[in-house]
Amino acid sequence: MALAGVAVIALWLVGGLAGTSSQAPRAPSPGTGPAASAAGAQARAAAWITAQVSGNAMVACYAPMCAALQEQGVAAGRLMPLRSAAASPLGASVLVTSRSAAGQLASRYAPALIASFGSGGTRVEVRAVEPGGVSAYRAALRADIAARGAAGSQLLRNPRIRFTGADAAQLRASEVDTRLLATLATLASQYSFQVTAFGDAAPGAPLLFREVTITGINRSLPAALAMVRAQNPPYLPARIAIAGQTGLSIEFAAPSPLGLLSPVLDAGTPGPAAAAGGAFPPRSALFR
Amino acid sequence: MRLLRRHLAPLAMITILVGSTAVLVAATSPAASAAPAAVRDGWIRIAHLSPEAPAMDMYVYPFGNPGRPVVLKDVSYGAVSAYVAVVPGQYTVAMRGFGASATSKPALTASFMVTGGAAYTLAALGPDPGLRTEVLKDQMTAPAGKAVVRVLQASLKQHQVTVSYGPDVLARQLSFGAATSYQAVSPGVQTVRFTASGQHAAMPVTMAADSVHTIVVLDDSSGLKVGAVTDAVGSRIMPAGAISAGFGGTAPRPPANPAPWLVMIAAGALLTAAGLIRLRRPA
Repeated sequence: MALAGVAVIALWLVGGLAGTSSQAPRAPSPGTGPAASAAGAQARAAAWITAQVSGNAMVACYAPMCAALQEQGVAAGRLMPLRSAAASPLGASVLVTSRSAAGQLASRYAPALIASFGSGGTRVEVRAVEPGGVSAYRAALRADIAARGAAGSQLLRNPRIRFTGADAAQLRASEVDTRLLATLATLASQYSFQVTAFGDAAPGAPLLFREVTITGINRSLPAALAMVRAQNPPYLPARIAIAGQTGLSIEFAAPSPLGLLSPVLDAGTPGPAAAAGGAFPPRSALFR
Repeated sequence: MRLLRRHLAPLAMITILVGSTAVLVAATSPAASAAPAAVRDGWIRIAHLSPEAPAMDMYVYPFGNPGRPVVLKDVSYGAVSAYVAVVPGQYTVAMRGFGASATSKPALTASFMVTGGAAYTLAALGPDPGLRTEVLKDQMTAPAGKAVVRVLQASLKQHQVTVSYGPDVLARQLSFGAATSYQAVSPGVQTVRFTASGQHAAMPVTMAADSVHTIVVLDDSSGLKVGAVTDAVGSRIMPAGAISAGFGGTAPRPPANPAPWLVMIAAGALLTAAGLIRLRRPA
């Protein structure tokens, strides 16, 4: 078993180092065993990233993973191939790596695990790259968790929103994405509604719900849909859809940004909107 | 007498309707939203610092009570509102075009937390489209005998600007959207200078002892423009803070007092009751 693990790690690294010159995407190897398991985890990770990670996010990856992502339709221009085990992913928003290779990179550049697939040596990890480093990330995460809990508790007092017991517990536990919280608060400025469920927690990562389904807006549903669609990043959801006949599903892309609830401008530092690269949405008007 | 009775009830009803409507307007106006400043209230003000963006209406919604937003109407470039007292908690900032209905689609631009006793400036800056709101925490006091000042870089024309106040360099190559910390300077009148690639701007600015200021790097048609806002004087935050660079301020009206309207409603209710009683009596 240990031997198999070593083989998989070797496969990752050799693939990563040797495969960078190849332009052809590699299909996951069929069959069973560690190689197939690794390929399966890569394929699942690639599918999840394609569906859930922001379409503007740069993804740092080793060659096999980059190939798997391209097979899923991720444009080559969004991929940052890592040419060595210690290559820096700075410049990317997301890092995809194996658990074995993640140690160094994670501790230096990407401490935030946002999803994982598979187990043991074949586990594939999707991590958010944090340019500020580990200690800055930890401080920002602590503040964000506290702010999410406080904001969630205030939403629970909002007379225009009804929550289920489970949803209320998730709000209090800081398990709801900050963009969702702000969107719910803004929707409640116009409508009364019921939150039926939070969803889209990523697999194999700390709970953080990026999707919500609401009901009860009824005849104003088209207007509510238009209102959510009219937002600019970072408050523009990745997907908005009518759910059932009276529901509205709102889903934000991964990774969830930190600091949106308390974005007080620090000395000499551009605010979170600028830091997130979303400062100037190129083709979206303020008033629509 | 019968004529009087006939007209009394409708008159009373009209009085109630007018009074009720006025109270509703007062209750939903920004001033009324800004409850009388309790010890632990926070303070917010709004600054429009985007030369490309049109005048707008800004709504600040509390997470827990969206029916009582702070609303500032017709905020245009260069305007800085008065501070408004708000209950501590989480808020969202939404913008609508000037004059748009309060039920029209808002553009959510920020969410922020107000802490009791703290003051914040919500600065709308950047290009349009692409306007964003930055939240700055404002200092309310200065060391005795000193003035304190910070710089906010909001120029779209120059992305790196060096700012000095007399002999003091307040910021070197400050990037767009960034702000410095507050720095203590000697009180008096000194020239604020902006230096950027091929451009300069200067303006004398008075900073009194025990006062707090924000210098804003702005654009005008000919290049850079110095904006100076007084945040606080002698431990008191400024009730209104129009930028002193030839811009008009958005000075909100004083808090609406609902007492007269309540008296009017009560009077109307009494008149109605009296009218109804008389009408029910056989003639």
